Amino acid sequence: MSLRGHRIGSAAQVPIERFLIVGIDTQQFALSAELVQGLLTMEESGSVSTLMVQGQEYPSLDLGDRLGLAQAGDGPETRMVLLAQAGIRACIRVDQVHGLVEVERTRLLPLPRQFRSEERNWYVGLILYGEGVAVGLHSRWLLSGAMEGHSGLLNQEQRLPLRLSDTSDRMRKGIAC
Amino acid sequence: MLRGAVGRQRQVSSQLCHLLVFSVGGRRLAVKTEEIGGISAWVGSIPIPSCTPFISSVIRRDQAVFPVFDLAGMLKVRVKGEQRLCLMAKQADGAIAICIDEEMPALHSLDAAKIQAYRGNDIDTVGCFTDEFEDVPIISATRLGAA
Repeated sequence: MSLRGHRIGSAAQVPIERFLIVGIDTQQFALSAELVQGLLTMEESGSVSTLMVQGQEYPSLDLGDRLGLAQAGDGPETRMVLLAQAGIRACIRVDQVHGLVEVERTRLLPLPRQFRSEERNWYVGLILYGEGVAVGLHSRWLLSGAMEGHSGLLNQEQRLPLRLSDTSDRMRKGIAC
Repeated sequence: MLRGAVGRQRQVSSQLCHLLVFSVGGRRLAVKTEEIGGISAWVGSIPIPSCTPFISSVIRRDQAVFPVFDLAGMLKVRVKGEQRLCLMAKQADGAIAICIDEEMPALHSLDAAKIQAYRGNDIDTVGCFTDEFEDVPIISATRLGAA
């Protein structure tokens, strides 16, 4: 599977990382694309605490609550993002999926050192996105609240394609399978 | 030798201290100009969830991102005006932005010997000076957020 998206940076030889940019409340966050297993609309996911997708359990993580963000009601852009790494699975609810970006590692800005508390474990850095900034979430921290999966290391072939069931134009431009 | 020492002392006591006087929520404060990186229009900040006291947002300037110190929050006031200003303070960890009132800051020079101890404990200062209106605390921009 290949993921296409916007590329931030210019040099061809520089290692790149892919991030899915999502919105929660008024803020933008960047999830490592390596984590992302799929996207579901709220109609597809329903309102359950643990999603069962292709025989795998994805417990719901309340990222907004962990980050102290306001909880908005479900809207047409609300999605459940399925995440997995090293056998740990979870799903998070986001208010909006903005798109997929490829970022040269050198363009991933470090969190300013004046941020000196617990948040240093939450973020991998900052990504210039559009006119704003998306906060790169640390994968290990993100999944730290999730239950351990039953099947050990995730088989990459089980990964769901990032789907375009959305009606959002932004999604169509940002992500393709 | 003694004379020399006295001479140096006199020189120090008459040293001019250059300050920038600004206001936050109507409260007048000063900072040494050597600790200032610049002043520009406030462009709005981008919140970053954080546990660090008074540092929970950043501003973007072209390809650079700077943390914001919420001085108004620390002073328990609200920044005044529609055309707010951004004061960039120099710190060892890099520049930090502070949102200040729209009232244009003024340069002020005074004899360093006139800097007195600040009696308040609501803000970390290097002292204060008295002008025709009031005592003006001189904040330590380099230490903001360091506690």
